[in-house]
Amino acid sequence: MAKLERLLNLTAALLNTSRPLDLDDIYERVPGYPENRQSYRRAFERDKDDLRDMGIPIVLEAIPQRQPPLEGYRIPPEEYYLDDPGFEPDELAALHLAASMFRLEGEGSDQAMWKLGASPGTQTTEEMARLPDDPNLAPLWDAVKRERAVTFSYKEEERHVDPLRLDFRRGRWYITGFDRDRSAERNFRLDRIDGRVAVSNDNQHPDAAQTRSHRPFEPWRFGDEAPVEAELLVDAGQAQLAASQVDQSAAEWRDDGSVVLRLAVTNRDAFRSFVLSFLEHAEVLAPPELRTMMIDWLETIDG
Amino acid sequence: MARGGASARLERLLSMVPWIAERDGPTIEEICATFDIDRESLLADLDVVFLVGLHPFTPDELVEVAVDSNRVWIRYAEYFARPLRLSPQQGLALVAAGAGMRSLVGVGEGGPLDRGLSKLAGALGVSEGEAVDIELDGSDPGTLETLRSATTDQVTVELDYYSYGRDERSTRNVDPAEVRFHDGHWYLLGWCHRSEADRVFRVDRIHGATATEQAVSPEHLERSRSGVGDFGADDGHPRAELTLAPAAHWVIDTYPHDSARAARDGTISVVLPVAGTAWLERLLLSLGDDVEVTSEEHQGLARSAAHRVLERYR
Repeated sequence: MAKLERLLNLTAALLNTSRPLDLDDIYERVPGYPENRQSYRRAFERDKDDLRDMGIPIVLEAIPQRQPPLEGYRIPPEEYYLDDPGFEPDELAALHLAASMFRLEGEGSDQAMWKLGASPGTQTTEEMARLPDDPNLAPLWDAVKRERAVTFSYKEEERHVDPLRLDFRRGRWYITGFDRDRSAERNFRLDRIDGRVAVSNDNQHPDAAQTRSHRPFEPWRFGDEAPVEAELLVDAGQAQLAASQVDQSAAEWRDDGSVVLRLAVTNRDAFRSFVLSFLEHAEVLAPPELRTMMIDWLETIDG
Repeated sequence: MARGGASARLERLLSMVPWIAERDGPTIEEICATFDIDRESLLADLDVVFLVGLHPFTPDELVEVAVDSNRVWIRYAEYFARPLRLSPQQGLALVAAGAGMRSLVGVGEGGPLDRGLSKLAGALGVSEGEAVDIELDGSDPGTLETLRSATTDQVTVELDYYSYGRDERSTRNVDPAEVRFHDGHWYLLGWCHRSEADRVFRVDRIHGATATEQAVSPEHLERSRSGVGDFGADDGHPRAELTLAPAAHWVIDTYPHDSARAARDGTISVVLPVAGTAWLERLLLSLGDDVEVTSEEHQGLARSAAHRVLERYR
């Protein structure tokens, strides 16, 4: 295939040059481009886009000592080559097994294993879980990794966030980050983000790193209401199920097997739904405000 | 990011060339298995590598490829001596898979997966275990492990199971057919001795699981594997008909339903299977005013449930 050959030679030429190559250099060094100047430029632009889409870092730089000034292309080797993590065979095999059991939708794990050089004979096993992809997943991951601030539209509002961690909970992806406008940590559902996330070149806010924490998925914290601490009693029969959904330090076990959960609530609707999921096996003990909210809600239904 | 043929082949080649070059004539079979490619396509791609090199493409500037009937050698490909770094998507796919695996088997200090993940995190420049956190659901890793080994060993498991739909706890013996993650939760699929039928169990509602010595019956296993695979085990359930106000439209996105019809006033009428009375009670209580029950047999259900819960507050 002529195009494949051209792409390989273009990559080799741009990797193996000490100075940026201008369009004439590239035409001379890479066979297979059309003779017509316009057609050549179009074909080169397409090739360049294809390579960049694959993650090949093609940079445009001023060519040194060139008068008049002119820009050229090259691939900086230090940005192209994989840093060899130095895996032992058993480590690669374990990663390979994990990647075949837990598959992120879309391309990714197979290509990654090729690059890491997984040896054949590593057993691939039946896929057990598939994690959904999202168009904003890779950009947000990149921002977490490089500690960059991001901007996106969420619930019809522009948010400025320093992303700290991607969380996968109950089948959905969330981004946890420091919300600059609210000066506090917030979680956002990726599938509720409108359009694409814009990754800035700004470093993260100094306060961001200090808010890093691990918390379980707690929908009653997904809100901006005045915070209140709730005390929820869950009977023995469902205590374990309830406690598994909250941070362990929030659970106080009683001798009869029941549990009291102390929860910071900033989303009262979500808290109410959580409480109601236990039907008559749970009761809000405090504060009076939340007890009243429960009673009012239930009385409306009870008629 | 769907890519065309040439890009996909190029990506594979940029990984394959250093892999082959580093080894002393790996077999074609080995290469095909590692890079998930058939023999014919491999040979076609190697034909292209023959033509790769640097200007002025004199023989000493060309990559050397040698293929005999069974093995491949590549030399003089210095600029492709190491693979391209991982794209963000590829790095994420591996880190997420590792985090998922750990949520399943727990963290084994110093095991090959832990060592591998920490090297990977180092190469990607992230703090290990901080950038991505995968919690598939609240299932106990010990329970999952018991179920997985019982499935492999083909022995019956005894479950202490909480039925959410019926709001009751019971002990059941199950011939496990499969453990699978689906739509946010781990499930055990298998033959339930008590119901004498295939059943699907949510693993986070299993309070305890013990593997027995009893071998599973092959007929049960065969049936379960073919029977409950699509999680569509709701055919036998009664149906409820609800009218949802706009604030309750999320129900359509969340639960399986037979039909949904939008009305002019912005409400949606939905018909959905009811796995158990308690399940419907919870849904109605949490929706409050935003739902109206239209099916005859479910009239008064929300009221009586609200009444029972209110008793706790009096």
